[in-house]
Amino acid sequence: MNMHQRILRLLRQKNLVIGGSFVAIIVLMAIFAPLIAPFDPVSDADLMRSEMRPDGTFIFGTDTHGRDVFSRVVYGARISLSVGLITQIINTFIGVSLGLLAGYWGGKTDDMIMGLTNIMLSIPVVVFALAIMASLGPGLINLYIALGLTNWSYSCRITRAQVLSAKKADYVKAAHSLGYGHIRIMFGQIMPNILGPVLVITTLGAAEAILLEAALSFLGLGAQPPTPSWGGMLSSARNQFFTAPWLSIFPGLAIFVTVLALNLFGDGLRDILDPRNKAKNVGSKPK
Amino acid sequence: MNEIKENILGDIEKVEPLLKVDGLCVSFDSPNGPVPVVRDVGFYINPGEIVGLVGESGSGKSVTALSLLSLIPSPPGHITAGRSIFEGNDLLKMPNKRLRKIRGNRISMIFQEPMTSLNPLMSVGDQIAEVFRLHVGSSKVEAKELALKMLKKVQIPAPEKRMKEFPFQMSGGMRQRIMIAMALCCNPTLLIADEPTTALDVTIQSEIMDLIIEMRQEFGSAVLMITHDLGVIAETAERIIVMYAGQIVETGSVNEIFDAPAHPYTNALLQSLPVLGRRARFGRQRLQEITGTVPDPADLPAGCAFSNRCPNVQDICKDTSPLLNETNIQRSVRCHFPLTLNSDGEA
Repeated sequence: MNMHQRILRLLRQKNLVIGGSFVAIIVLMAIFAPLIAPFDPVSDADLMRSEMRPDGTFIFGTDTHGRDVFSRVVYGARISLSVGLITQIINTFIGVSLGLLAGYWGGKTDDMIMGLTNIMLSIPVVVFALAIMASLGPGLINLYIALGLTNWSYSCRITRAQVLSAKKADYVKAAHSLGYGHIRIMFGQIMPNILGPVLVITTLGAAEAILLEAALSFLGLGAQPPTPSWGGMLSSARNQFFTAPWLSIFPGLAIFVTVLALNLFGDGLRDILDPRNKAKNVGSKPK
Repeated sequence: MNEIKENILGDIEKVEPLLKVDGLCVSFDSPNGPVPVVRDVGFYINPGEIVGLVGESGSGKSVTALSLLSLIPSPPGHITAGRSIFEGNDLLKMPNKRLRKIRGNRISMIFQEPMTSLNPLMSVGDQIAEVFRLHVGSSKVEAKELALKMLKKVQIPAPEKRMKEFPFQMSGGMRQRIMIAMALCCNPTLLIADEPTTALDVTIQSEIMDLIIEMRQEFGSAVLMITHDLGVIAETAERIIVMYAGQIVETGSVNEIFDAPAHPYTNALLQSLPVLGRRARFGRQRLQEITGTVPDPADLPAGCAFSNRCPNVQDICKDTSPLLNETNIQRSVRCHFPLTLNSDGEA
């Protein structure tokens, strides 16, 4: 199978293509925010043009302080994506390590880690994040920490379940019979074979983290004003919802599109990473 | 019993076997307590020899092989007794670290399912190379070269191209060749082949058997061939061990076993083999089957384990377990009324 066929096969996955393109657009938007945004999101405030309707110059209108909403939405992507990325790196690292240990060693290790995971799952994530934020104080760095420490239980459980089935696989038995050590088997044989579902849950988790960041910023615990963050913008726009709806519609739309795109992307990834689909697509015929 | 054992011990030490298993017992935990799956199994393998281990499914042959390298899943499996002396050391008492240096290096294993025994996400070249990197300590480049050599040895066509391919791009026979290549990387003195051909087509089966025999000649490894197919080992093995319900019921050379089976179970197994030309010799006959099924290891008959299916069963069989009687170093049978043994105990 050559590169060309491979790309064609990927393009046939609609979820992946649509979700992926939107994610790519949002990522590019975040990276090139200074080039895209016509105004500075923070310092270009002008009370004379406060709460103007969307028009040719201010395509998303202006907010209470006269700042361009479009520019703020564009810059807001930086906060949201960094939250999604950084918290998921922390979550996945914790979740996969604990899940590997629990699934591979079983017994008491498994009981302890699963106990911890169940405790984490029993506490609503928002409440737990709120508790951490309350003790650390509001701010972006603390938000990363709070969300990074609260949401690993899903990837932990998925990893553990995958390891449990993978460690009974014949190739793992064969690896034991070849004298491979535990570390070599865990990281060389088992880990690559379980990464698919973990990747999917990570992508979906990123969408969830972005929503949570919006929620925490809405509650005033996330990025502090005047930093442009979608949740924070929604929070400050709630009083003007009927007088200046564009203040809440556009950041809300941005959250909606980003979360939807990440979910579609995650679904698409799951479809191509599912081994049953792989066999169907590749046609696994020996040449 | 002990006397007999010491007798064999004395005999065996003279030939210096490569592997000597003695009194191996394995049980598996179940909700109703431990179930003995392998009971007092003892045998030996001489250097360079092919030994066939035959038995029905569930007779404990795979568990026996796996426990030689302490590979049975534990829990639920436990090796409860026995010794397995390999090159002067007891494998069963060896710490895991030392055992890992033997696995894949001095003793290798091939499994039944070539379709699933290879890591689906690693190219076969890398998989073979990893064995060299682990046991020989080769560099990446060296390991690749050695892996390519192994692919050539197991007669994979276009080995350079195949190196980069993944298991799903290969047929079952091809994958079994890769498994054999991986097993033989470190020139093992003992190769344990656990039903290596069961999952393959008949034509591929004979190719793989030929390859194993060829490889044995090249590498000088002894082979423990586990199978339920007597036909597979008739032409390859030198000695045969027959297992039934976790016990060895008969051992002997291929000729002895095939020409003059002493245990009714071995005899019944041979009778149930379709033989070409049987009709010409004996006229039209129905192929014999063994009535009944293998007893549940949790609920074995009080006497001989085969007593509930044996055509020659007597009263003593139902309440007294027969011992494994050695007539000589090669030949032994566990039966109160062995079929072909003469009055002087010779086969």
